[in-house]
Amino acid sequence: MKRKLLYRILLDLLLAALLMILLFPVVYMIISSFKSSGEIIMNRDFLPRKWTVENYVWILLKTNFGTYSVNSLYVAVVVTAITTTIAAMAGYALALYRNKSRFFGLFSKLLLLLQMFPGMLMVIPLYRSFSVMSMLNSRNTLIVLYGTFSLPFGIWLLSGFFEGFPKEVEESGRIDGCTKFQIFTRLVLPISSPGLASAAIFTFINAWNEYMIANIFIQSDMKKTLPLGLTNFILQFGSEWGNLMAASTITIIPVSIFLVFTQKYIVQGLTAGAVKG
Amino acid sequence: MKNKKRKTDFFPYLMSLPAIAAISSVCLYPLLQGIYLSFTTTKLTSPDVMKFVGLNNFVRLLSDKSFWSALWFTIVYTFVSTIMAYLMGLAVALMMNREIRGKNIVRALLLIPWVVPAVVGTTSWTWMLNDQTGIVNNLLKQLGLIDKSILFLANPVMAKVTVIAFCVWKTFPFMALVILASLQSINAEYYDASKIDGAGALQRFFYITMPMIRRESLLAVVLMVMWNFNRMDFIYLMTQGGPVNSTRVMSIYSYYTAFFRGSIGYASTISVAMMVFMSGFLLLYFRIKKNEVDE
Repeated sequence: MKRKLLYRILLDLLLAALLMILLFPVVYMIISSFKSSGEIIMNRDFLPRKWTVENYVWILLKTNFGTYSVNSLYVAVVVTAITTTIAAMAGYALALYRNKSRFFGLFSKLLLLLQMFPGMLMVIPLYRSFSVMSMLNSRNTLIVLYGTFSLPFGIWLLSGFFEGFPKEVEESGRIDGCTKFQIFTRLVLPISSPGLASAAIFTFINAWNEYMIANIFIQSDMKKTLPLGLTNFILQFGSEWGNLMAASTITIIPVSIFLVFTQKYIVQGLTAGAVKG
Repeated sequence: MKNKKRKTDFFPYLMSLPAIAAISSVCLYPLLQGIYLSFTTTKLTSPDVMKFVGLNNFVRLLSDKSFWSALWFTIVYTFVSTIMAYLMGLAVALMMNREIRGKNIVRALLLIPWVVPAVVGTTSWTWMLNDQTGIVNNLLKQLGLIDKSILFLANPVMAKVTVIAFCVWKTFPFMALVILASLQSINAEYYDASKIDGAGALQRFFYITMPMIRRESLLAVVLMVMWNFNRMDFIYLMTQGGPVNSTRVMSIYSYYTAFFRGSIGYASTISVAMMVFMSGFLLLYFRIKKNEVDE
């Protein structure tokens, strides 16, 4: 009994130490953001001698950070709403017909296969097409691209979720004389919030964090999203580490809030996606 | 409500129409176009002129030293970081597979590296690893382990190690959570029975745990290999492929060729080569999976 307790405490300590090391880059970033620009270069201690918010004030008042945030939020919210809706519809069709119809069996395989293709192979022709249509430099272009690139995973996740439903739900709807679409909107969707939440969270995080596509398709400063704006700072104020750390910290706030309230759904989504396969 | 006649059921097609339309026009069509571009000498500055040159680009690829070095590092980067992320994920998952107080908080903390934007991750790592003001170098100096700063991002060999370490840091939470979920689905009776039979902890691990999580592990590893192979933002944001192209992976090489040198034809050829490699890898996976079913 005593040995077991000792063993448990040892494991707890090991896990805590590991977590501390792994989270150090993020913790150190947040702490550094409260050091003044003079102190951040001179002071090699972990904690600031004098805590200051001057970096935050500078970022919010003297840069286009507000614009970047609005752009990021706009893109991420619209993408999440559209993608979750479309993925729910397709996911439901897939859940019902994957095993009955050859077409949907193939569709299901295609979704997995799409993970294999290098992004550049799609991005180069897309850049070509969008430049011909003069749709570069537009937030809506980002919405189209992020939305579609998030679809396969969203459909995959939701079809797995819908497949887990008991058949009685559909039967009871049919007896009440509902059409298939009514069964979906009135019976299935209202009890699907955990699955929809997982899909929405994944889409939001991907859209919020995406860098490479934004970097290729957006040039004008007023259209930039946060990740793009952040790299801008690195180029402009390369050694102003305090400001950079403050900007980075602000960038992770929405995702962190999300994480606290929704980690259960994230874990569900991750495991549903990977374990189903 | 309506009279029921047996005819083609349009419902599933209508439901998946928006998704199919979007995926066809934004993924499949560009994909085919990209493959076509790989046989042309199209330039970024005049994208409408697509001159078909047959296999010329592929012949050029075979003698392109930059391509081979990029391919080699892509393979090393992909497999080393995936295997290390798997081992680390497995270790963390095994540690977490028991009653833990504050389980939800631990899981949320564990997810942080994974949900943090790549830009933020690379910025904080670059700051920590800086040769003059970075905390890592200062700490190592204070401990007396080194005299001169380690050039984590300026030395070609160290840069390779650093980008791999970053990839592991960023992706292991995914592995840990997938493995944890799979561990938790193992029936406890197996362990009880093996204890009665006198199996030790190591035996239990190799004869019960590993076989039971094998399927999920394999799929997670395969997905991760595909993602790491194709992804470029981690490395691009940290080193831009430098110093002296030592961390240039194929996707970065393709990106440079397209958007800096402006040859979108040849850039597509590089991407097609990537696709061919991944298809080979995926075929291997399906063969392993099939053998497993046959057994």
